[in-house]
Amino acid sequence: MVGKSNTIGFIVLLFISIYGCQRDNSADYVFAPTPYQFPERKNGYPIYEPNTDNPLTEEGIALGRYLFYDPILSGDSTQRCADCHKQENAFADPKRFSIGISGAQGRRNGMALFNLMWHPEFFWDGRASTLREQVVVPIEDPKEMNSSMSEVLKKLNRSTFYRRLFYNAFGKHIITQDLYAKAMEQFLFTLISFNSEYDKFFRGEPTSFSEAAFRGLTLFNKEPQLGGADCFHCHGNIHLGSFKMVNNGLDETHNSDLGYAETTGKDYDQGKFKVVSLRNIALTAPYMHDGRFATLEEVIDFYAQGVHANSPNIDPQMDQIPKGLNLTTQQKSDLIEFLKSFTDSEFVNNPNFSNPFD
Amino acid sequence: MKLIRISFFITLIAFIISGCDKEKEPKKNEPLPEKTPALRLTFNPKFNGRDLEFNKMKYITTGGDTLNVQRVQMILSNFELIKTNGETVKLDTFAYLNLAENRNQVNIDQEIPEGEYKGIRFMVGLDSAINHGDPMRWGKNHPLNPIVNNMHWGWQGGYIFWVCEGYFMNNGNSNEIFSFHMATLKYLKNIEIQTSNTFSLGNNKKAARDIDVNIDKYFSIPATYSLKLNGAVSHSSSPDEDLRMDVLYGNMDNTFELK
Ligand code: HEC
Ligand code: HEC
Repeated sequence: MVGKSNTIGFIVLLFISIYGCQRDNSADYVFAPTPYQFPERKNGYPIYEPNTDNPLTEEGIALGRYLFYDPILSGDSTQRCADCHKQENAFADPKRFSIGISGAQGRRNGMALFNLMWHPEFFWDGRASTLREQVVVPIEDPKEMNSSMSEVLKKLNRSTFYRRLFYNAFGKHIITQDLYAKAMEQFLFTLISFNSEYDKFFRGEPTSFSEAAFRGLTLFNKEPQLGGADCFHCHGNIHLGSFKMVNNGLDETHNSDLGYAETTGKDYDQGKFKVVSLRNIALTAPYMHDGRFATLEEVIDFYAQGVHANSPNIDPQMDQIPKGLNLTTQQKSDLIEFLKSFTDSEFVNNPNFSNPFD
Repeated sequence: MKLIRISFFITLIAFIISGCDKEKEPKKNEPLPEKTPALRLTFNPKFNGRDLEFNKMKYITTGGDTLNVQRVQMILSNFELIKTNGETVKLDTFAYLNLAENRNQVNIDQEIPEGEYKGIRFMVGLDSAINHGDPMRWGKNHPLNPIVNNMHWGWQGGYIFWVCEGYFMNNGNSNEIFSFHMATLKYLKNIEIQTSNTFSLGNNKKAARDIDVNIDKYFSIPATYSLKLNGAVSHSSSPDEDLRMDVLYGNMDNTFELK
């Protein structure tokens, strides 16, 4: 008697186990990801180096894109990454300070997002050293999406939509933080912007790069003692930003926001912030970590006459700039013309990066 | 009997659960113990024979300046080892050093002929082909990747070979900047340093040697340099600036010392 019920019990259990393991293997639950083809790499542009443990696939990217545009990642399901990172602004935030779901105001300006594969550190103060570490932070920040990873994972695991997409991308039924971060990383890595008028000029392709922009280029890449504006020491590489942590002399004292020192705990890192890329800069106002400048004119006026030479830890690469740049009105407008040539309109209009729910 | 049955059931259930849960990540590999290279060169910033501390306004040069050194960076190439019998061995090593950030080692891990060695040659800088080649072809951790070293002049230029930057006291102002960027073919610098403390390499032998980078001598030997009188900035980019760089370029012969 006991033996018989045992056998039935066994069969039932076995059935459940097989069913339990396989119930998701319906038509939608296929795992045959298509490798992603990066745009052709041109000379002078960085080689593609995605992380070896997370090869980009069409499925992974599509999933990351849904997540980026889905309020499911926030505490009360009202805020999306895309609310602070808008495509028409090269994924920067046009508001000076972003407002989180609890109504709390942040203290820094939302950063533009592109070419992230090549960043050694993330945030204005470099506190995340990988993108996968970074993409968890906004979810858990009380001044941003104000949720927790475990809460978000619960919601995602309850969603048949996401369970299917995660299976398609990674062949896994249970959505983990690691998979979430990998999907987001894949989408963010495809946000590549190297097709501004400046790039076309640099590559010798037909371009509307103007005479004025060319004069601006010369100023940008020349030292002050030779009559230049000396921007290239920090914004000179192909990214137009070194991504190093540097104090460019914005303030005389560093009280309200200590910048990199908040990451390292070192006094001599106070006032240092990430040298961000100037690509798409005409679209990403307001400027600087706290969005203090509304226009590029204000930025140029700052570098020309407003730098605090006595700012503690001012970077030696500011060189002669703190002594004041003698730029004429014409030269300032040439510099701005040059900065405007960094706009990549193809990037901000690329349908592959827009809201997939539309 | 009952106990066995129960435990059998528990095992089965555990098996079923774990069978479904294929999501477990494999344990992260522990980092391997660092492999010791055949030859490790450690570059140590010094001032008057003592370890130089960055971010301290306390170093007085022969020229009478008080310095706070912020950065000493360099790109090195064309390494050669010199045997006690004078033979040389070429190495295919590139290095980027940033002494303020403790990036101060050159690890040489290639087949080295057996022998007793007394010296090292290297070039501060890069020969023209590499200096003006596509800077973005290097992988993300390569010393010549501009994002790694921040020593590439983006626009049509090549690399900066050597950076020495900081502040000096000027009329009570402790934030006065000095900045020397050595670059261009003209300032490619060949260094040869020897030691009486010879070392054997080859046939699996390993050696480690220190190289002092004497910032006091950079500003004094053979030519005494004064930031206040001679000028505090040179990017090797104009005749005026070259006058300054010529002096410091000469002093570089005495800056490195093999221990
Ligand atoms: C409430 C507005 C807000 C939301 C929502 C938000 N961000 Fe941000 N983002 C910011 C701000 C502000 C910064 C700069 C913060 C800092 O430096 O402390 C930033 C920085 C970043 C950076 C660093 C870029 C760099 O160059 O270092 C990345 C990447 C990023 N956000 C991605 C995301 C993703 C992915 C999401 C959704 C999971 C998201 N953000 C949601 C405002 C927001
Ligand atoms: C010593 C390095 C350095 C030099 C030289 C330098 N910058 Fe910057 N730049 C920075 C840093 C660091 C930031 C971010 C500062 C912050 O937000 O606190 C920045 C920010 C900017 C921004 C705002 C970016 C944004 O997204 O908010 C612009 C525009 C800019 N710089 C343009 C220039 C121009 C034009 C020049 C030449 C006149 C120049 N920079 C010279 C380091 C430098």
